Amino acid sequence: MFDIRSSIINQKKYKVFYAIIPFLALFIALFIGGVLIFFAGINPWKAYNYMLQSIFGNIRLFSEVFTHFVPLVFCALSFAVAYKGGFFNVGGEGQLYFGALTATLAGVYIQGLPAFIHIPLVLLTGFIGGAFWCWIAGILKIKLGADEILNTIMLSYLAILLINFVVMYFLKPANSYISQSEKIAKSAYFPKLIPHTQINLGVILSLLTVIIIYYFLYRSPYGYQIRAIGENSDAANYAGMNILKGTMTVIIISGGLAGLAGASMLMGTQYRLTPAFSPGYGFEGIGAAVMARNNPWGIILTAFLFALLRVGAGAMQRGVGVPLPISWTIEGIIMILITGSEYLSNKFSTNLIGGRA
Amino acid sequence: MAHEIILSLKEITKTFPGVVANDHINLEIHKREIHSLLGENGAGKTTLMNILYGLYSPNSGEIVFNGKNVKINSPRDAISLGIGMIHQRFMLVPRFSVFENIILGQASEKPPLLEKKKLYKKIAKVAKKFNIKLDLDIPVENLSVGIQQKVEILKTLYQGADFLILDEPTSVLTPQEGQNLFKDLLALKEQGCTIIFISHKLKEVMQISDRITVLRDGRVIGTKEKFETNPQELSRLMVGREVSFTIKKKDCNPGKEVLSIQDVFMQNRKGLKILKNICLNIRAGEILGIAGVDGNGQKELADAICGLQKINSGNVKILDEEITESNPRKLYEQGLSYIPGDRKKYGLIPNFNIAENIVIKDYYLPPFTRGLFLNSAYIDNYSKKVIATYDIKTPSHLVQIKKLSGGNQQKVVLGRELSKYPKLLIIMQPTQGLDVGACEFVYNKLLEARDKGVAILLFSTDLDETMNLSDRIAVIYEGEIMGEVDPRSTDVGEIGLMMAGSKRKKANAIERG
Ligand SMILES: Nc1ncnc2c1ncn2[C@@H]1O[C@H](COP(=O)(O)OP(=O)(O)OP(=O)(O)O)[C@@H](O)[C@H]1O
Ligand SMILES: [Mg+2]
Repeated sequence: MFDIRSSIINQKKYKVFYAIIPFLALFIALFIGGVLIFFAGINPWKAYNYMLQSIFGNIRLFSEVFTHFVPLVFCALSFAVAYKGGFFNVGGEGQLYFGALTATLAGVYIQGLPAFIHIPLVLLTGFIGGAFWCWIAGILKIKLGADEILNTIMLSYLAILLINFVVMYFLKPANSYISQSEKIAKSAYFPKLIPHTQINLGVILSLLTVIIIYYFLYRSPYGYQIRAIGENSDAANYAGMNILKGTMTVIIISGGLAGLAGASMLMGTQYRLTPAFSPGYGFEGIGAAVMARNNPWGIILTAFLFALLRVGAGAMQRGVGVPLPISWTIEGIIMILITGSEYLSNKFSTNLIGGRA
Repeated sequence: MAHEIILSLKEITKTFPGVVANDHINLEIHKREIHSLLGENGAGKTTLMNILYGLYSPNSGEIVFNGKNVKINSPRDAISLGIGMIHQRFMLVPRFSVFENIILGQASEKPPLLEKKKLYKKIAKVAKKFNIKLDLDIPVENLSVGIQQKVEILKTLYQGADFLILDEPTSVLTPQEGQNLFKDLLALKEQGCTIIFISHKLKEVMQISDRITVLRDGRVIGTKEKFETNPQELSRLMVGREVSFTIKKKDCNPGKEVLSIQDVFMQNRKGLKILKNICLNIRAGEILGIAGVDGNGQKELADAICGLQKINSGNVKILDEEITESNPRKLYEQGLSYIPGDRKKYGLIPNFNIAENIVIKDYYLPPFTRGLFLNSAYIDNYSKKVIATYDIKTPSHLVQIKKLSGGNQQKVVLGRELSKYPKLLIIMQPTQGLDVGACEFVYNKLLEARDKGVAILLFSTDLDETMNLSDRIAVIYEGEIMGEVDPRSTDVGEIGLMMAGSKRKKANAIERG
């Protein structure tokens, strides 16, 4: 009794609609951005042209995109995993910092190891640092019932202040005036994939992590359990799952991924810890995750888009004087449009295609 | 006598991916009638009503309301036409009072001001007109389900609706509450309301309706005047075959004791005693029915047996093993299966697909998991089998649960738990939301399990069901067992008195095999 034909057409229409959304959002955002640039007294055509040329015209600048891409992927995955498990981790930034701190300790004070041991070791300490910082938020939630949105964000600020302090008073070499740690050992540097660019081992690691997280969440029994807890913890409990253990696992993985973001920045591009270590990847990662609907594959795209915009914004500012806030606005508009279109497409699907909200 | 036609649906068609939910539906509703919709699970009743209420838009077809061709694009449009729908899940804010809930979301007449006194009077007037007795100041969370439903109805009336849609309103009510609802509905009809009523209980449909329309596979099979039809005919129209209303039961042949509960006490967080001095036992191959009005400790008792709630004292043994220190997963592995009453909340994950929901308890065990990963080939096959056996209507096993019809969602849970033969099965409200054919099927399944030696603890607020299925019946009232009776030698009256707490019977007059 199924009229398969008409329904397949419907489904196709639906898929196409879904796929178009991000591009539509991008175009609208660039258009509005263009208007703003125009009112700033700059020719938008020229500005965008310059942006494209400088990003794609030069491998060195293009490789810059990956400096942002790697930590963004890790941060977005961090948010997505937690979200799937029902934990709202908005403190990725702090966990990134804390992971960077522990990674710095392992990178600076452990010397003389071969790279193939030192690199995994520093990554691991970064993971543990981020996981530890997120674990605190988790304990506060589980033991005291404190809301994790507040917890994680507060701990984020605390971590940033703490790292400032630690760098200033403990990690700064005695003979230096600049507040920054020493460089980590060369053996902990990510090898470059293309010489003289920013494309290093971190790119491969971040993509690998996407694959691992995807298989973990969607193909493994443990990931199934985590998603079940995130979707309906009552039903998960009745089905015999251990909610506490599941949630704790999610918290540790999520924090650890943010910690890896910190470690990968340290080992791939920065090499030392500084007070303003991250330009907000932890927060931008949330945007990238939400925009990808917390889908690991989607995160590759959104993280790349955000990374492009970052480089583009820098280029437009340096080259034609477009103020950075305008570029941020473009990013903001994209996020709003995508989240808004989520709502619209839901409505679209209930009305024309079906799906109970 | 010519009836005034208030609503006519013309050639309404609605498809979902892989499903034609409504197939050229033509339906006329008379003014001031109570019109029932009957049909198997997944026949398209809810979909049709959602179209009428503006939640879905049809692929094609026309709606003529009060003689005018109308387009209903949202519930707002529906309300402004006077069409209101009472949802099964109430949309009330628990902390708010009845009054606050009713005015919630309504535009004020003088915007920044909310003229509370005036609104209060207006609501009281509506309530009086329709003879609905409600205290407007009580917080909704303190009200029983039946009264909350009343609040929903009053809210809808207050919004100006005189055409009401009630989709399975009685499935959440006790039989007594159901009768109260019917009184209210008849009063509404007197005052000029038109009502569309959906239920799977033929008794109710025969009691309340003026006319009855039967749907099957998305199509209208026929409309009957109540007085010219009977339950047999209706179920034949619905299912397309004879449905037997009597349950054939073999003699009970109990084996060894599977569950023994002794002196169980439980308090809730506020220190109120929820369970008092409960003693029960069940043997393999028998069904112990627990009769009682909903909310007398049934859920807590079942949860306690399954390790989901802690008891304060007493002990529960399954196959001679103390379970107090156990956990739900261990108990499941030992052969305990539990089907909670509120399946949407405790039994299903709406955003997961059918297959994922079917393996919710087994996913980590081989062969559902192989090595590090889920064995999706096996899971797919297994769930396809459950879908076929339980006649779950869906185009694929990968459809999200929330897209199934209400009854088919129920079937997923039943199919999941009944596909295995556990040692002890605890089942609450086995047939809620199921059509007559599915009820018959589930009854047979339960009896089959019993005959295979499963011990079954049955909780049902439907007394007929309890009487028909059980080998013994214990009556629970305010967390206490009022006594045990033999369903063959007792009647509804006696159990009714015990359920109301006014009669007590010494437990265990029945001899043990
Ligand atoms: N949002 C949806 N997406 C996909 N399919 C749907 C959706 N809503 C309903 N359906 C399908 O449409 C058919 C009719 O469903 P509907 O809910 O109207 O049945 P029903 O008559 O109310 O059944 P029940 O007695 O079980 O409540 C079912 O096969 C169902 O799976
Ligand atoms: Mg329905």
